[in-house]
Amino acid sequence: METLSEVVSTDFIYGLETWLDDWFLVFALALFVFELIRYAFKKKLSWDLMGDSVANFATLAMFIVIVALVAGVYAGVFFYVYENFRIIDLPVTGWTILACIILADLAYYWEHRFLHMNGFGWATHTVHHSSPHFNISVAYRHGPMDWFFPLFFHLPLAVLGFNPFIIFLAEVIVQIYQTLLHTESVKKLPRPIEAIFNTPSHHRVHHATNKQYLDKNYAGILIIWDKMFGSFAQEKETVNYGVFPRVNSVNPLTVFFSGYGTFFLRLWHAPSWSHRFKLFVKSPTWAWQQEQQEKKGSN
Amino acid sequence: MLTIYSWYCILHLPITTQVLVMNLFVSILTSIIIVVIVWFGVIYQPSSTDIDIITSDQAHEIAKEITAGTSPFIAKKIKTNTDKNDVKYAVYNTPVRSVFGVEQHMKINDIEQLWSKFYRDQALQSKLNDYPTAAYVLYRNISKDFKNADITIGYHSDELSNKPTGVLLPVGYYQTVLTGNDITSIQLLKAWQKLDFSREVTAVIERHQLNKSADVTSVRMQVIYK
Ligand SMILES: [Zn+2]
Repeated sequence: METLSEVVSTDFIYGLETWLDDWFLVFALALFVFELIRYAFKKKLSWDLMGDSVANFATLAMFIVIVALVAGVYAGVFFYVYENFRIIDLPVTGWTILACIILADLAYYWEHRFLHMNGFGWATHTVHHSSPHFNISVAYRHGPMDWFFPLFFHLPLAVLGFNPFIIFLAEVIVQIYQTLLHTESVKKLPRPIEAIFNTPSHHRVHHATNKQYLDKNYAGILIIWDKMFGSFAQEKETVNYGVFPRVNSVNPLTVFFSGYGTFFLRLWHAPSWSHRFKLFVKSPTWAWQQEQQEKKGSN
Repeated sequence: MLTIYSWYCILHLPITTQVLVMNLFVSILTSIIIVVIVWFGVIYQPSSTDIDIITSDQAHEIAKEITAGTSPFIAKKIKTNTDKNDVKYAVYNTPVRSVFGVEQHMKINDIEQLWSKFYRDQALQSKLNDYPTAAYVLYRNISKDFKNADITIGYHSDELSNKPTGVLLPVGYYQTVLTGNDITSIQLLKAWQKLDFSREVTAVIERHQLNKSADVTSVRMQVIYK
């Protein structure tokens, strides 16, 4: 308890964050190798799975290039808002970091739910969901604008007086936890853990195309947010992974740009301006249903 | 009232579109309440008892300053008790606790001389436990025209064997003046012009992040005002 109250230097936080960033990728790759061996034993290793995994890491590479270009601006916005608009100065302590992780996790929930609820956000997030497989490599399957939306949901934390270094650390911790959920090798964890925390089982549901699982389990670390806000579903029926319309490609470029490709095509072919507006703000399920109806109509 | 009604809807009605809308509204409202509760928790968190780097005089000063300033919450939290220096909340974002290295009162423009002295100081370099993560430049007692200062170039004491005390950094809130990857020494000198001339500067600190071959990978310059 006492140690959590101790004042931490911002350089220490920055060091911890870069250390986590660097070593976690190595750790995740090791887990991925373990998953592949497991699939080989179960005779589930296929060329499609291998190709899909390569595509996943290729999207990661493209995403890293984009992040390298925008990281300065992203961090700059946080520091600018913090220096000019913070309401209060929060001390840099263990307690503050812990609280920030909880609030960043809540912010993650809303950001994630937002991405699923409108066409513009879904166009980038669909990349992460479009894999028909589910393993650690899928966690690294990113869309081109995945860095953009977290900004708006985490910026309020800077206004509340959390030092940007703490916010970035909290974001990294939520992200790392989330990454570990992408696996089929963990069935169910002990009950108390499944009740409070997000688990591989809960997150498999999130990646499902099964009807009863759609738009469920947006959580980062704590599943209680979903339970509180009515977006929770338990994993019962076997999960089918992916999205509609299917991407059916392991070409990294097709995968990476598929979301915005589909989005702009729909905008282009939209019958009216109100329809275009709805494509932005309405859920992707709505867009999909519209398309299905049109097809029926034209037949 | 609205919240109570909404909770009532959620608890008693089957899931219809209408309830889902309400649900979203209540969910957002609940989230905001959670944020406020956690935030107040952070503001009134238990404070540590072993901050030894503030003297009671400093404590008094800082407390006075903050009471006069903008943050009522912090002002409340600080006890202006001169026997006990429990002013943890005054320590905002001091980048490191102390810097140990070479020191000289000199012209700020002549800093290169101190850098070479720093790199040639074998006794200092041999104290390093491992590859250093950063070198720090601390400016104190800066002259009014920003021409001269007591300059220290060194490492964070924690990275040296036996953790020598070194120069303690003034505690408080440090503002970032400049930060980036490819910052030249000229840019750093120019950054002094960005400081707020109307306020008295207590100290300026530069952090030069180093990689394993001791190349500077990024620089951050911060200032603390009186
Ligand atoms: Zn999702």
